Amino acid sequence: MSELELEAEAIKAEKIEEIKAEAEKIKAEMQAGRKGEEKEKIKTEQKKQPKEETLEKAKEKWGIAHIFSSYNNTIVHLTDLTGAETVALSSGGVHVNADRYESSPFAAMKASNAVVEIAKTKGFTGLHIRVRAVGGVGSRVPGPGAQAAIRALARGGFRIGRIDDVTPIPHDTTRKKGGKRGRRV
Amino acid sequence: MARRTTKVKDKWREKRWVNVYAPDSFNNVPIAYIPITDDENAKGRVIEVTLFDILKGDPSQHQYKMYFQINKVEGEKATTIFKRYEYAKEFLRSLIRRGSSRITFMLEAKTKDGYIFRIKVIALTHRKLNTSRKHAFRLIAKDVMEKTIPQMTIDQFVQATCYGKINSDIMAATKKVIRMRHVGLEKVKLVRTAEAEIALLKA
Repeated sequence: MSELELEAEAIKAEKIEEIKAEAEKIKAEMQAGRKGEEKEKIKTEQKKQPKEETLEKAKEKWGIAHIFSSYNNTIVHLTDLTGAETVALSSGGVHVNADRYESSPFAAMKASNAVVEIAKTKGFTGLHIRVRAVGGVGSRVPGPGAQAAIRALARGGFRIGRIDDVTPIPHDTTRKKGGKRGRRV
Repeated sequence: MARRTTKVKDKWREKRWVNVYAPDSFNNVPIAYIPITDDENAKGRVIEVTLFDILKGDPSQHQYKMYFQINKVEGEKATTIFKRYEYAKEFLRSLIRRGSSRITFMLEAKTKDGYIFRIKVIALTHRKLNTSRKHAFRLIAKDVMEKTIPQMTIDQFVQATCYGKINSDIMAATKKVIRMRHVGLEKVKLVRTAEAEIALLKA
């Protein structure tokens, strides 16, 4: 059991590293391409704001993208920084018809794009990302959609802040379903 | 479905954006810009920031997370109180390895002005430790914290935890017993504010 767990941990760490590397790359690309645009944006924004509030950082609208990625679906949920106000919500299942494609990278990408569009109309500029696998007694490795979802968010032109793994990991566990002899198919 | 989506859009337009400021202990730095519908609902929301976001010091400060809870909204401003401090999950993972002991213990402490905090201390050694030394470490560390914390105000306490003053105090005090690889506060949690405590005592 412990060996299995270790293996799972290793796989997970690898995956997360991969995802992060990917995001970093995209981030760099985006920043190189977007610097010019950004300056203009800031200028226009500043004109709109009254002079007293020169808190430039606070004027940027940041949100948190909660990505719940299991082997059955991918849910992209964009909220404000407190997590209390929903900005946009979409899932893989909305964009494909067959059940077995709900968790696919393509569906995840579609879901992310849908969220990106809404977020843009609502004026968000940056995102923190929280990736979550099923956790608990379930899988602790994010599903196949996670990477695609993050990539799509980064491509959407947002500034990406922290990328966190928030999989719920119990300190102790209840028994995994399936019984002593495992799932017999 | 169609009707529902239009409803949501209207709700979004009703929201106003407020600045959220860190507590006094962090010089009221702006930490977030969030949409709210009404003041009463916004109370109790918790915002996660890293130490780096506030101090803009060196990148190692990304490893410490802090949580602030909104307690008051006045016009465009929302003030917060210190709610929680903890290590990032990945940082904690990177500290723990085979062949070295981990000593943890918890403690509840009350500051001078009556705020109660639950503190989880973590210490890691270079190699395996025997139990007697672990006991000694816990005793000394507990002693240090029980002496120092009741003399701090809430602001002093929050600063001491976040800037690592308590860690170094413990480190210095336990030097005679064992030299640690790492001593820190894994988690500091606000159990009750002074006001809540008073209300509880009255009831």
